[in-house]
Amino acid sequence: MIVSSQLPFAPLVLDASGVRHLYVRDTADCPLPDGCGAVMPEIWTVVSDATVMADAREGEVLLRSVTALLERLAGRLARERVGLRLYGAGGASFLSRVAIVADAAGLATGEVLLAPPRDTARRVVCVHCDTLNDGVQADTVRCLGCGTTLFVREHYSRGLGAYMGVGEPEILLQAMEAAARHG
Amino acid sequence: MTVQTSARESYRPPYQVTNSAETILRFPFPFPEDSYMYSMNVEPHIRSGPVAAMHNTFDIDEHYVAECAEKARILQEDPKRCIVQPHMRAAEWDFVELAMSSLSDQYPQHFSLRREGQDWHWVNRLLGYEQSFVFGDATTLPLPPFEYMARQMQGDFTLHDQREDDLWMDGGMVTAQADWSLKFDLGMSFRQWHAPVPKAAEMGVFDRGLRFLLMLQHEKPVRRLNWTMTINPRLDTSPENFMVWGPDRASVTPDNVADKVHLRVELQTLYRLPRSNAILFSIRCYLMPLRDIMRVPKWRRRLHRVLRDLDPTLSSYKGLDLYRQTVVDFLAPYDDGAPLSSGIQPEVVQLEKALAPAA
Repeated sequence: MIVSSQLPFAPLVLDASGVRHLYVRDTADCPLPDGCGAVMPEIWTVVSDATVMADAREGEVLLRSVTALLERLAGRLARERVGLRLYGAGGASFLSRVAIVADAAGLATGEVLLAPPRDTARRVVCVHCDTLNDGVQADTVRCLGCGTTLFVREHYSRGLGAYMGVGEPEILLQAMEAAARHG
Repeated sequence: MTVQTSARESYRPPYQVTNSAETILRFPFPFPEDSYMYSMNVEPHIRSGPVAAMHNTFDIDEHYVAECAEKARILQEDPKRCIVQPHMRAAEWDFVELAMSSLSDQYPQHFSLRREGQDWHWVNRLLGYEQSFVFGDATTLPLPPFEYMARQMQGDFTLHDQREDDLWMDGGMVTAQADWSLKFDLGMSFRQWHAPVPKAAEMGVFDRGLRFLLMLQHEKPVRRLNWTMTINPRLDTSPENFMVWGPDRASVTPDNVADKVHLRVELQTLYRLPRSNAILFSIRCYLMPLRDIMRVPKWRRRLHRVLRDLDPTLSSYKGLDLYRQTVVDFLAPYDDGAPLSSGIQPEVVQLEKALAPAA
């Protein structure tokens, strides 16, 4: 079995055991879950446009930003009852934040389904100063908060929605380099 | 066990921690055999065992006051070392009851508890605390119940909710950890918080461990030993402060190895809590310098063999790579290769004299 603390991403398929289906995505490019047709999920899409109105009558709710979508989602989930299936698709950062909102609302493991993220950019939390560094593409990042060069550990906190970033003292880097040369 | 009633010791620079002969002999040396690999190595936490550190529900030793003072200092510097999610309130009170009743029962000279219905009266003579409160009413304690009591105990504690056939790390107080972070792991499932550990998953250790713990019963606690090594007697080897203590790993030399390098042992005990059905995980940390381990012939020989033959993956994961060879070289002259008895018991009642440096 795979042991990982990362989010359980899998291609989206409509879950027939759900009574209501809500699909949230951070761009309109994300395809609908497989199995949509007779049953259609409610769709919320981020369009990054300050003129759209979050009007549900068109069958698809357009949100002005990720923040707007997540706030609306938190309000919605607070009123939901058992039977909802929440589907998420988009970038890794967006999906991390969807999971945080869903967890805060008490959704259980099988009630949240997340598509494999569109990008590989990761959120990295500095374990030394708690600063969130977003959009990290490499295995290291200079922390925006304390300036430490963080090495990204393959350890993901669903609660923080981020990977752990830990500094490496310069003297250890030098000692390990020296050991590698001699050994 | 004699307990110092004042904190003269220091778990940060300038370090000042000494172990009496009694403390050395009761140390839970973690290697029952000459080689080491992960295993569940779980046994009932009964009030007996090969070393005295295992003889009480929660072990109190001569470092109690100093460790509680260090814990308070860490919590003041970093309040996120103690987090309890709101749904763990019942578990908090379960913990208070288990801790207060077992401590007062097993160490009546240091702690006492009077219960009249829900009106409880707690006395901790070592720290000079006296508190009347209503059990179950958090407003009658000066701190949230879990925090109030965990501050009065050596070691770290985590609270695990059981749901969906899994255990969730939903609270804890963690100030003496071997490189893991409560604020980061909070809310994780059993497999999630173990994800960084190499090899054990493929060996099936976690699957078996989880299945076992899901069935843990009230009043049938279990224990196991875990270990790593720490440079200097530093309780707080957290990732939060790795930039502070990490450089110590590059400071070991043949001249200082006996005093700098410590075997860090966790006596881990697990308890099913009766009201909440949560699990309390207690991680009691012992730090023993090589200089003290050297005084038990069996232990110094066995430590030499274990470290010499340690799987390189484990050595890296535990952060030993920069100084392991220095330790092995130091210990080698004191290991004649003679067969050693199975088990962790020291096999002596008196310590050898502190050794002079190897010739």
